[in-house]
Amino acid sequence: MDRNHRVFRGFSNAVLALVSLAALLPFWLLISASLTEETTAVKQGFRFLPQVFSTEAYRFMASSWVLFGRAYLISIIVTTLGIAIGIAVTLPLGYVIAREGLPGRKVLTFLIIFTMMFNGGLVATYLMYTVTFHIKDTLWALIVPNMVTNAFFVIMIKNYFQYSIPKELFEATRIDGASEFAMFTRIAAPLAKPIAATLALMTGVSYWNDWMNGLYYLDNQKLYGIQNLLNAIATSTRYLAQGAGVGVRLPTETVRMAAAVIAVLPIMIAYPFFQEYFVRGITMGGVKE
Amino acid sequence: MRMKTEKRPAPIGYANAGGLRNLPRNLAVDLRRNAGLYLIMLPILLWFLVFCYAPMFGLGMAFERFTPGKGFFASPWVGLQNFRNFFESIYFLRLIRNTLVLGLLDLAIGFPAPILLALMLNELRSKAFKRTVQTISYLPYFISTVILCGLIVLFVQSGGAISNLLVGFTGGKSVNLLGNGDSFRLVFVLSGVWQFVGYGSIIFMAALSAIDHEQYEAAVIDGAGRWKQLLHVTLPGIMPTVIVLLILKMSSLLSVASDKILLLYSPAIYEKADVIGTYVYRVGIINMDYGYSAAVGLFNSVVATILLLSSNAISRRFSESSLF
Repeated sequence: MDRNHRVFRGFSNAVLALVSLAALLPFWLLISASLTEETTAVKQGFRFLPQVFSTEAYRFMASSWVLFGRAYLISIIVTTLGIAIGIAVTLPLGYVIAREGLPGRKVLTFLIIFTMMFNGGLVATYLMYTVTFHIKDTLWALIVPNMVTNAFFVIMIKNYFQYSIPKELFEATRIDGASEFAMFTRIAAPLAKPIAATLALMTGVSYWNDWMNGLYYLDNQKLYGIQNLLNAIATSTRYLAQGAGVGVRLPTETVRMAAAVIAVLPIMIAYPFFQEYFVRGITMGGVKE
Repeated sequence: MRMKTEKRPAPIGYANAGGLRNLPRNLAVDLRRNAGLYLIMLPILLWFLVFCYAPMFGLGMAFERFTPGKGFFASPWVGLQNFRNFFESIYFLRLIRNTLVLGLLDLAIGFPAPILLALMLNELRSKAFKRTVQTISYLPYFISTVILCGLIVLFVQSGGAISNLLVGFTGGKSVNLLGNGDSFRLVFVLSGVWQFVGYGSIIFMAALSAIDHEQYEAAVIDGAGRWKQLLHVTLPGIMPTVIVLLILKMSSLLSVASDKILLLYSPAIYEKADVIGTYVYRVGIINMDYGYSAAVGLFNSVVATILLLSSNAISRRFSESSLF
């Protein structure tokens, strides 16, 4: 009777299984590649199971730990600072523009949404950061430019305050004589913990994964985070040599893979735990006014 | 009910009506009442003004022969010269064509893919299978562009898994798919689909779960099978979301992921792979031709904004959904 639907369901199941497989296979190959012996890899390419198993790449990374450790540390610092500043900036802003009846609220919301559509573009922004604020070759270069691009986060927080927290709560507190500041710190902020977690994770992932700011604003390779380091060793074969001792064999190909594994590892490990927060955030940011 | 609300002190907002005549008084009341709120917001507003709006004024350099030494105010004004140079160069048509081809390919493949995925997931009976597929399919979204491009190279270089697979179908030799402009385009767009299809489906899953169950029950009473339900309840139910996202997608038609292209292209295929974003980077940041590249960037932004506004207007005209 409902043949169309049965066909559709059978087809769906097959496609969904394929989609899942396709999403996982690249990671599998990456890990397998990082555990392949270098000469074999260069000669035969990478397979889904290492032809000759070797942990040489990881041992090499351990031996030039200064290079990798520094980049890793910088990524951690930048991500942590980025999350802290991101929450400190976005939460109050979202809170304020969520308050119905506040004069000028519409104008403010528009000013923020407008930055989603239109911005000064790469060159004007670049010049402002480098000429006016002198962030070139400082750690700020990795933190500051990422902070303003996300009007989406502001809207997400705004929607949360507007739709998920009963307005009566604020009114009652106000009648009790609490100041706005106290209302924000004692009531709104604690209630916003779930969405703040979402915000923290989204911000964290974007900081951890960012490499454009390093490309634009860093000439000093010592300030490279893990993503820029990955890019550097992928584009220059000589880059690795600086961390290694004289006469040490450079397993260039496999180290590229191993470094990528190390860079993606924190996200892979944390991912099962934060997945739900992401889903909530997207759903929240998508609510229309 | 009405009485009750009137008895409450107005939480925020103007105390007195009276239009413009009373504006100064109203403003004073408002500032006194909401001083706390404005204070909380002030630093952040300043932040937006400085970091988002100041560069917009900096766009004025698109009309100058800008040199950092002279700065924004002293650089000589050249009117539309920078724009004219761009429109007359070979790059103008090439960049527009390349950007549009990538944008349209992505629109054609990358936009429907998450919707289809969400619809398929929605039909699944097994909760465990559904959760597993969701979890796995979101995963690629979270990896960085640098790692993504590393993976792409790994798969499509000569001897890579996908290149070898293609040899199985078409014969010939295993080649680097990034070395050829046409296959570069496909690799670029399909890898984008790979990365975003799961993540993109989340919003549609939310829309699907928001559909009222009574509608399905009513459809069943009217004799609709599962397929008819899909056509007449599910699809109309998610249409507003689809349209809003389509508007967003249309408006970002020109903003192809230029950071990904930077990592994947090579001078040999600039003719087909170079887009506005990568060109602005090369000319502006690398060659430091600031005024000219600002002009190219401004042209891009203006066209993108026009695209957004017109697709929004079209959508508002023909359906009830629009962004603003």
